[in-house]
Amino acid sequence: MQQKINEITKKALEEISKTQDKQQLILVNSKYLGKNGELSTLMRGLKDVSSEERPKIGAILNEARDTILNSVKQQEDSIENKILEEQIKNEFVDITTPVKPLKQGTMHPIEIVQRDLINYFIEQGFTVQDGKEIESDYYCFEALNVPKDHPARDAQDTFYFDAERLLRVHTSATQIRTMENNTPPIKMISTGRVYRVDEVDATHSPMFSQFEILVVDKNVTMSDLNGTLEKLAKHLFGEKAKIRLRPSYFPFTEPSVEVDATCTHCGGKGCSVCKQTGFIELLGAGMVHPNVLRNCNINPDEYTGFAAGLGLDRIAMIKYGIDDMRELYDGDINLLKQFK
Amino acid sequence: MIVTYKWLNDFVDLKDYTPKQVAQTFTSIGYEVDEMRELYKGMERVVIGKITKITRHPNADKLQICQINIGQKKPVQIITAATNVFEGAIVPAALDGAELPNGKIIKTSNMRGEESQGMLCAGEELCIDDSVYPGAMVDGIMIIKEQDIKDIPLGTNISVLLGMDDVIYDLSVLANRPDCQSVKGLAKELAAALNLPLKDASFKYKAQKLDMPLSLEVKDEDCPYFLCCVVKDVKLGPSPMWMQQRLKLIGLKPKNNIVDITNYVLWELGQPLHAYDYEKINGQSIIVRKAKKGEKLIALDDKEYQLTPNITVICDAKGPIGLAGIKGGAEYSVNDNTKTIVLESAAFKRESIRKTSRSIGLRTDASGRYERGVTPVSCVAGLDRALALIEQLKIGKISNEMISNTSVDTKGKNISFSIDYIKKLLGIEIPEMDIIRILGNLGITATIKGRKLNCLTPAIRTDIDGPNDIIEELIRYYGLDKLNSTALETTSFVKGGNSQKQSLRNTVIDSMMLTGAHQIFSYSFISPKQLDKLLIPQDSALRNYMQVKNPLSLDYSIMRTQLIGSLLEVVNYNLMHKNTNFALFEVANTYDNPTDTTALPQEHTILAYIDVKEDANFFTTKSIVEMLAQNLGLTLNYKVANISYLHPNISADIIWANKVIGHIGKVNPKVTKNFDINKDCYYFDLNLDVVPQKKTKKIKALPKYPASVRDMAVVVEDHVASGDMLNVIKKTAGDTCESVELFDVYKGAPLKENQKSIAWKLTFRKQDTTITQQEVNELFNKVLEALKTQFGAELR
Repeated sequence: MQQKINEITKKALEEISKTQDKQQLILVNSKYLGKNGELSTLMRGLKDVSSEERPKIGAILNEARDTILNSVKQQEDSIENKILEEQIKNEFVDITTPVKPLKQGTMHPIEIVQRDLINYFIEQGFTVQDGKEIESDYYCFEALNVPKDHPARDAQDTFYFDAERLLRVHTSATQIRTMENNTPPIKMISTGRVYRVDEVDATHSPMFSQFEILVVDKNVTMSDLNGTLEKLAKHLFGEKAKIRLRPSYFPFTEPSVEVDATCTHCGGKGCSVCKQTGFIELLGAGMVHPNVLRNCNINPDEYTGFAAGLGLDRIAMIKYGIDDMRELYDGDINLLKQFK
Repeated sequence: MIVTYKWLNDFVDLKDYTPKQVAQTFTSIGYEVDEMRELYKGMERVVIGKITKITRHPNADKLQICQINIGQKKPVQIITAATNVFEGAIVPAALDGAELPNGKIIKTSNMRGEESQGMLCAGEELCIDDSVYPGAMVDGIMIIKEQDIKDIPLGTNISVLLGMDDVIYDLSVLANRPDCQSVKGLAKELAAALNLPLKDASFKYKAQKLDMPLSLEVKDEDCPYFLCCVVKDVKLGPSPMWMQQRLKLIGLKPKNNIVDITNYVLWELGQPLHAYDYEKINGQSIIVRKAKKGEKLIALDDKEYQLTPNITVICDAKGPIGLAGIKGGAEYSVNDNTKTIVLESAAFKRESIRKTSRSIGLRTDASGRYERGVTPVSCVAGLDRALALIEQLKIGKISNEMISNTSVDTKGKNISFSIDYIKKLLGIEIPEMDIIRILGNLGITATIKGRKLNCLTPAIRTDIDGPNDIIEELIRYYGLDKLNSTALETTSFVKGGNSQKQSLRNTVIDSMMLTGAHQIFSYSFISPKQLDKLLIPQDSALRNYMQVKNPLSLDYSIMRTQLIGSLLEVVNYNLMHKNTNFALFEVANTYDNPTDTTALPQEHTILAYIDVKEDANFFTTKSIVEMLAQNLGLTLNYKVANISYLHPNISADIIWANKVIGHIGKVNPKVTKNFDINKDCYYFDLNLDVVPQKKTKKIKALPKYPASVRDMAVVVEDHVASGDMLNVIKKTAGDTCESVELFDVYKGAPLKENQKSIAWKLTFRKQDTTITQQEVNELFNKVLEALKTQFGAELR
């Protein structure tokens, strides 16, 4: 019996090792281990073996079955590996083939600058306020201390719908709405489109975007304005950037200043971009006029504030070296796709 | 405002300051220098010389050797080819080292064996013409007239003779400083900045009784002050060289001594003046009033102006003789035969002059000053200065009768406040000594008592109104660079954050970027023609727009009520520039036109998208909308729509919470044609106003039990909308149905012509136990039954 088992095992292992594919292997497998397989038949015959020998023969039979099973498994692995190797051998790409990159969309340069400034100021505790583009004379001029006969109120400078309604000329209109609806401390920014009667050319546009900054609290000084803007210039143009304040005039701030930053192009040495001055105009700013605070029921004896407004188009143009303002509004894909 | 270095020197001694330092000082106190032009550039080595001797060149027929006296012991020898020179001629001589305005460099050289130590110059080589020096444009060397160098020694720089030994500054003067629209006003600021004393011009003259009667009546509130004076025996003629040269430098053409004096004073003191011919004034009376309907006037520019009742005019007994503050009447102003003049020096309200100037389309140097603001105090100074110049030039007898409508209030304003407020506003302290000095320099009388600062301003400083104005003057001259650089360290803590609108904008733009589209910014105002191109019906709400009253042109005249038109224009721009295969989007406002004309319109934030890529279709576009909807937390429905600018069979309203919040579809080919676009465009827009704030959602627990998936292909008639089927499937299958996905639409054999097969993949899962096949079968049949009854669907 034992010898027979050994012979079957030997034969089975031999046949297994000769199989070329899975089909053959399955046949061999059932020839020995199948329902009527040779080994299975022997196993069924175990009941005829004497009870003394039965455990011994049983153990040998089980061992033989495991040996064959293992061998089938191994052979199966080796056949599958051969198939995979064949497959791998046949699979090939020319990795140098040029492809079309997955196209990413782009943000408009004004949007990029705008969002960057919003994030910068939010980090410093400023709150974003939404404004209206079509405004009333009151919010755009009257409450901002712009005298009735001020040239800015003229139809030469402002687009009107009727005597009372107009397209805002600055985001400063939002200052009033904010101060009316909030009490100090106020630290707000607001941004959006503004409109002025300017023919379209390389440096003018009847529509552009502005960014407004307003702080009203006890102990807000012009030195705070200076420091805030200095940090802003560094944020926009790098650590080396410096600012220069020049006296200016806006009806809603007093004192008022025009703020220049060192020219990013030449670093302040003087070049064609800065018209040899070493500085580029950055924004207008000043201390909130006491009349403006009064108009919003804020006591100017108790509170002071500063305000600043900068043109986002201008910043975008300086930052990205765009020298014709029209390019911001033409929507030419060749320009837009560069803002990854 | 143009001023010159030498003219400023009349009022402040600038000898210790170079022209460049003067420019820097102006910049630091708020006067932007738009241009600085050194007129003598290129003339530094060109002097006035006299030819003492001419000899023929021994080796060249066409050359002459000139000996030139340039005021030194030895003459210089210069060889010239010019033929118009002669012994005794006075000429400009460029010496060795000169670099002429035209770029030519002059060196001592050997010309055919003879030394030439320079070059005699033609007017052209000095870049001047007859308007600068009569005769400068002669063919050959410029010959200087003997009488012109009476007071100028030989060897003097040529620029002195030409009045070009000067520097021109073009300065921007801030709108609130009408008092600085003049040489004196700017010199005053300069003197204060440099801590130098201010010199003044002469206002002195002798007056006499003339017996030239003139009455004055001012009937118009827009003329707060009118002052005039008669001058007789006027000797008209050219004004002196120095005055002509200055007027030329600032760009004015000299006319005659009287007109030149009025212009000179306008520039020097900022006071507009006008000279009338006394004899032409009917009834010896001047009346200032509003024009009557139908009146007209031919002004000095020889144009006839139709006057309207809101225009202030200067009249005589018969009618208008001048447009107040703008221009005089031609017939009534100084002319060649004038013997007696009336000099007007008046103040008019700035708004009135501005409106008139705009309405008649005439802007003059005078109207420009009035638009900024002219005070009565300045009227008196202006007239006195003009009369002093008349006396200086000895060209008339001045009446001792000053005729005016009212007296002048010369008092300024009293402003007092605690000096602690200076630190409160600026964050730095300014020493008391500096406060007194700075304000004193500006003509503001200041005293400090205890902690109180008392100021008395000069009447001419109409811009100073309160403590902040005084502090602005202080920091302007103390130096803005002395401010500290603090950054709100002492203010209260505020949390800060984005507005809902702005963060929504960010989310939308970030999502759109993922689609490969480019963001654009287009103008908020459009041409009404765009609405026609979009085939918008006449009764559509999109035609109810806000109209700009004073647009730049028709193209920018109405506020847009939709964004698609602007997008199509940008698409057209790109196609014209041979850019293809792109998608664009914009997030911008549209504007209502409220029926209540006193109300401000609603502004809606709209996202609009257009796709002209080759592979774009309705479904690619819709999948972008769905991606957005997921990001914004919206569940959308679509409903067949009728939108003029979209394809009638390929378009839909986008519905959320039973509201139309957008549109999607292929752009109507008729519309694309109207925009000269020869490509298919796919479009959608979404109104972002309705999007609710996105809430933080807790995640769904991960499934614990396996799902069971069934496919269901059903045949329906063509017109059945898959969206409607989807809703029925979801409703019928209930919560156990985890997802329903459309994965195939088939048309063709063996189906009938008007049929389609739609294949759905239904995923079933239970949260608490494994779903049984029986349960799945029941749900599957229930769904099929519902589709049968509602859409006549048959299992394929």
